[in-house]
Amino acid sequence: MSSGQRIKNILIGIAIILGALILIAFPEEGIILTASILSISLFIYGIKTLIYYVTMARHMVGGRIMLYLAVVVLDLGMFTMMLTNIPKIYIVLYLVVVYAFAGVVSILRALEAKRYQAPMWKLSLISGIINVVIAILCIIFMRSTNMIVYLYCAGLIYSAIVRIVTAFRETAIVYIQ
Amino acid sequence: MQRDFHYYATYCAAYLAGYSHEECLSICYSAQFVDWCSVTLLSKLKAPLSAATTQLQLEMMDARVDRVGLQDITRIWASFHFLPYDLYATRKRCGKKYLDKYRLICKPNGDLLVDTVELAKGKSLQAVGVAMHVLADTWAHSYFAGTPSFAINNTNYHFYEIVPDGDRFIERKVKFIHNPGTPDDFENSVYVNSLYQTSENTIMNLGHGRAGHLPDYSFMRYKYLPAWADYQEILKDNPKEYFSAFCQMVYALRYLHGDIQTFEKDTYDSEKVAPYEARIKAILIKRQGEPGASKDWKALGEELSGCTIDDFDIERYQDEYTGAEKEQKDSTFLGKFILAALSQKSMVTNRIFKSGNKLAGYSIEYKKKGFRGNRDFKGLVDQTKGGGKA
Repeated sequence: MSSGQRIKNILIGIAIILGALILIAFPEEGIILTASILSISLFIYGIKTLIYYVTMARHMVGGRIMLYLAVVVLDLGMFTMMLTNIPKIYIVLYLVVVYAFAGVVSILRALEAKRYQAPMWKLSLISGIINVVIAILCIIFMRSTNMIVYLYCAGLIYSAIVRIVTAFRETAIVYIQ
Repeated sequence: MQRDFHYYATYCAAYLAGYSHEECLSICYSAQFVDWCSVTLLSKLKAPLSAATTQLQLEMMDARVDRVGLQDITRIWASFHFLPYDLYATRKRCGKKYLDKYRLICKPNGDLLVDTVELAKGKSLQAVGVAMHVLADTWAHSYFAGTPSFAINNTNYHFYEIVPDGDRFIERKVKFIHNPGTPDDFENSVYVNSLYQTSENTIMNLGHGRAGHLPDYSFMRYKYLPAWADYQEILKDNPKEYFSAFCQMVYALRYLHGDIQTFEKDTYDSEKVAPYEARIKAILIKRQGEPGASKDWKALGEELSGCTIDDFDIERYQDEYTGAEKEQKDSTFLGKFILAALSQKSMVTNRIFKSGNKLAGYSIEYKKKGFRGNRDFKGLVDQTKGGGKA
């Protein structure tokens, strides 16, 4: 990773943490902001897919599917951005799927590591269980706006920390002639 | 390729090239160990994690696909299983982003193959084994890239197996399913492949995942439309290509053994193999998976050397490594394998980086800047300074 990329990752990480803290401080407004972030993400994903089609997928067999996908997602992103009130259930469903999937993968990974007698299995298992518990909490507290915002922010802070930690990793490989 | 080729066929090739039975066992063990040396195993051994030569299925599912994560993945798969053919390949009207991936497509007889074989010259038997794994895989894994890429590695419904039917061949449409627990059904051409996902960097689009294990079966003949080939159909004739791989391995091993002075691309030792050609081709075309293929190669190897070939046992050298003092670890069997793996990874990363492609990460030349970066490679520097065989 170049120095510029490291600095960029650290700054983005800090910005995400600050954003998450603001959401936690104002959870009532936070749910609207969370919904807006998800809508904007969808819109940005549509634009990224369009760029992906132009730079990569147009050279591939059957790549036109990416153009259609980009148009549909972009449209959907714009549509959801225009909605004044997105039902909370969609946000909850999004969180449940993300956390449950990450949890199941981590638990399976822990079982595999245990089979190899690798010490990392405990850490994977704990992380998997935490993710599954969060997914369950999302369902239990489906009606609590505050709790949904807190859980969403927990995920944001976690990914921001991973981003910052990654920025400090020594990744270059030495080559000896 | 699987255990049949990486372990037993490599043993046969090494024996034909002039290595002793014991040396052949070390070479073929190392060649096969490349498919087992994962981060999970290395963490159990408390060995440098950067020496990983493969990733377990769930390690891949769990891997991050951000920039650094993708570089980790690419370093492993491009260095050991999908050696890039031409790092400077060009294609009209394509941007750098596309070309960076396109240039990682694996094919036999690239410049990097020469670098790989030359890197093992004068080194340990473990380094020889690693080089043989890489060489053999350039044949099996042709036309796929060792980095996640939807635009390069995807396949579609146009996928046919060419099946022998009496004295002719017939085409049979391949049906792909996605349940990894289901065994491949050779009779009905039903095979397991990775899920169709339109995300460029998902792990489902790594290497030949979208073509299932078809490239790994020596008897397999198939035709399909690679995502990168502009609607040109490719016919892959594994029996023919695996035979070329075997002849090239014998040639490369004779070079590494010291019988030949230079290693050149596109050169095969057909002469040494000639007495066994019919037998080898018969094994290669037999429609069978494991353990049948391994059994046939093992029988040939034991006939050649007159010695028993022990089955591959992943545990065989682990106690020696974990029980050794810190200073002695590099002298153990696995210690030498780890150094060979680090050396290969460092070389391939350097070549990719020097071509202006950052997909495998950054490479720092020790001669110019001294030691910087990932500390796992410190052992390689110490070893080289000490003049040891990495």
